[in-house]
Amino acid sequence: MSHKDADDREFDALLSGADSELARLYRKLPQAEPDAKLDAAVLSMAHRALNPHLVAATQQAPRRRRAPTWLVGFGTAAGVVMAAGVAWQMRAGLEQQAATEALRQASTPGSMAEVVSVSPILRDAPRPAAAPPPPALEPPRAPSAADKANSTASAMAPAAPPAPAKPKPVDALKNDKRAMDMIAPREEVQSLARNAQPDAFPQAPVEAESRAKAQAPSPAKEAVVVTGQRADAQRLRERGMDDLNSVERKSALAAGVRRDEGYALEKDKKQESASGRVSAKAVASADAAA
Amino acid sequence: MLAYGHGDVRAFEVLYARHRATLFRFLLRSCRERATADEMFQETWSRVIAARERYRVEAKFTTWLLQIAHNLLIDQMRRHRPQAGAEETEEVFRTLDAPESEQPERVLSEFEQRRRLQRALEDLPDEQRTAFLLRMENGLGLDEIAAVTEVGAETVKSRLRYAFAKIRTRFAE
Repeated sequence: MSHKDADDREFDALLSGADSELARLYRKLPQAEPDAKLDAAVLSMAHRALNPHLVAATQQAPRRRRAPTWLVGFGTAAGVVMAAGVAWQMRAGLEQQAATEALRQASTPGSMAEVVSVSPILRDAPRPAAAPPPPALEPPRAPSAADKANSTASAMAPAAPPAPAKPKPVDALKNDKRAMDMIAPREEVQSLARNAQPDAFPQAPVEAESRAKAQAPSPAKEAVVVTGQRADAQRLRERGMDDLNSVERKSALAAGVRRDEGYALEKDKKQESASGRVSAKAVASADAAA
Repeated sequence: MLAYGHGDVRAFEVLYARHRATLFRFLLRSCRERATADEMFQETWSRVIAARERYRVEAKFTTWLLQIAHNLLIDQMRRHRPQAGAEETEEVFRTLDAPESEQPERVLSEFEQRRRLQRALEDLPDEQRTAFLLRMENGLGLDEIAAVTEVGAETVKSRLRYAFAKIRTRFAE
């Protein structure tokens, strides 16, 4: 009972604020305090509340630190200078290249340029429909009218323009016509064609005509080539199939000579008129082109 | 506080220097975690600063300051710790009513007494601990504690009595 009374007395002392054993013991507990960092934070908070412009300054400071203006300006200027240098270098190279090309063109004559553009086509273009026999394999023989025509044409050939067989515009065909006139007059070509054997064109005249139109844009030149083929065929026909070797026989067959063909002059005369028509057509087409 | 409300920063510094330690200890001994005490300490002063222009002299500044801190403590305790139940209070009464022969008298060293007081405070229910701390740490009377905790004075007295009994029991162990 005395212990309870003692507790009551101590409790009354606690309420009244009088000194007691518990109060003394409590005062001996560790006296914790906020640290300096916490004090600074609270005081800074109180200062910022009264000075809002300090808050704005502290908020803008990191923004300035994040994007320095001078650095952006310096970077932009450096980029512009570098781009200008690259452009200057490229422009100088282009000017030098243009000057080199202009010098090259000035040193080259225009006629040479035309010749260069035409000459490669010249080598490939004059391919007849039926391959003529190689001239190296021809045996020696007596000159005929067709040979005379060929030799005349070959003698006059260097004076002619170099590309008569290539497809050309009308002016070029006119040039070719003049060249053909230089090579052989129209009457001579017609006579040579008349003398040529008709068997050089074993197919129908219409087919030969269409083939000549498709493959030979220059009819005058085609007439010369056809005349040469007919001369070869005539030569082979005169010799006879039995006297030919294997190569000549193949050439004769390719030229249209039949195996059982003799020297039927009557038949030749009949076909001569047909070949004359073909040559006349070729000459007429050349005239039309001219 | 009125001076600070009118723009006197020095007045706030004086107020802060006067109440900083007692407020911090009250918070630290209530929540028992340094980090939480720091956070609530700063939050308490932040609310004081924010309410500087609305402050009216209706009570002592200490009462108003501790009321703010107490509300923060209540919120924090509700989030992290359930309230103490009635069983614990009954246990205290049974201990107090125990015969003297069952309560060994021991002579404890001062260090041991402080340690036991610390543990006794930690084991107190939140309302009792708050009332005890407001009385012992901040020197508030029954009416002021009642104003801070927003309860009646008799309730405060009862809480203080329960708190005192538990602490004595812990010393008697």
